[in-house]
Amino acid sequence: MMFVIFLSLLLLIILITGLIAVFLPRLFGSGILFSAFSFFVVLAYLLLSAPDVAFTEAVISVISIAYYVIAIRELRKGDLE
Amino acid sequence: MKHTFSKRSLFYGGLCLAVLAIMAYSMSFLPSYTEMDTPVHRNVAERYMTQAESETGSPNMVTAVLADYRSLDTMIETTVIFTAGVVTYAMIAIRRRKNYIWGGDEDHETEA
Amino acid sequence: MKQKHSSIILEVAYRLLIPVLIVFGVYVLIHGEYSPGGGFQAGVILALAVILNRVLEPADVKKNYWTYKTIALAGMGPVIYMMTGLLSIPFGGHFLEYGLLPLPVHEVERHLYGILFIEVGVTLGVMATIISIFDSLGKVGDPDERGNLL
Repeated sequence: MMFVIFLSLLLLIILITGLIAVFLPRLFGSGILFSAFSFFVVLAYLLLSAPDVAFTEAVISVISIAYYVIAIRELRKGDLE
Repeated sequence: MKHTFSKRSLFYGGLCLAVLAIMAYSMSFLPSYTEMDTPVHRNVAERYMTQAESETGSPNMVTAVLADYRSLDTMIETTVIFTAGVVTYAMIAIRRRKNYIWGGDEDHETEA
Repeated sequence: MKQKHSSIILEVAYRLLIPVLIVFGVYVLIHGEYSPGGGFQAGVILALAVILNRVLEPADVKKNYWTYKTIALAGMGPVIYMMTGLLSIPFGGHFLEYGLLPLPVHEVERHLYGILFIEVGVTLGVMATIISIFDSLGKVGDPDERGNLL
């Protein structure tokens, strides 16, 4: 029962973080919220006893926030429209 | 900074919520998490759980499935990742290079 | 490295993080058969070390990143994978049948070495692909002698 309550809470946090990350008007804050989103996804995978998938998700979230920062910097320069 | 959502953004947000509602409704038909009688657990999973270490020598079952039993899938997956890199290069980098050589009307040139 | 970074915090973080990232990447690659991890994660961690180098460079350093050579390195990953698979065919096996690899060890242990070889291929492919995507998204380098920018 504790498991189900904790997992439901985690899924709710994931939903809220993902929705805020989609609808935030600022690009950089959206990227930061995406990394928060994937942190809670990592916690959910660990709770569902899949450490391999959790490891992959953590590493991929790090690499995607680096991509976002670079792409946003290039967008601000007006280089890629 | 005051921000108001545009009509288009509200439309796509509503579309997202509708698809989310459909998915949440269809999730109620899935078997529950600890049920042992589903087709996923009946066919091939028992062989993996009991025989994987003695057949492949790898105690990590995920690696045994990914790299030994289903290694052809992993090979195509590596090729897909390579294709993603090539396509990104083709979409972004070659366009810039062409503008540099032919002198495009916008300023895409080097800034270093 | 040859150049100084723009701030002392970045330089200390650079010096501390890069060796840890490289050692941890190789550990994840080699130990992937016994613990969570494997080729994909190891490739991303090794690519993070290179990307951290590129992020922390000062803005006035001349860059020459040679992205098409990185893509050639990324193509080496699937090639290593397929060569490992093809290696067992002349010894009477199917494609990717590790039990018939020509190694002087027991048959179950041959599976381990086959898994390690293909993980090396996956690591190379993923690492070089991520670096090349980063270079394509990021700054344009200096043109080489033929006028090619990347």
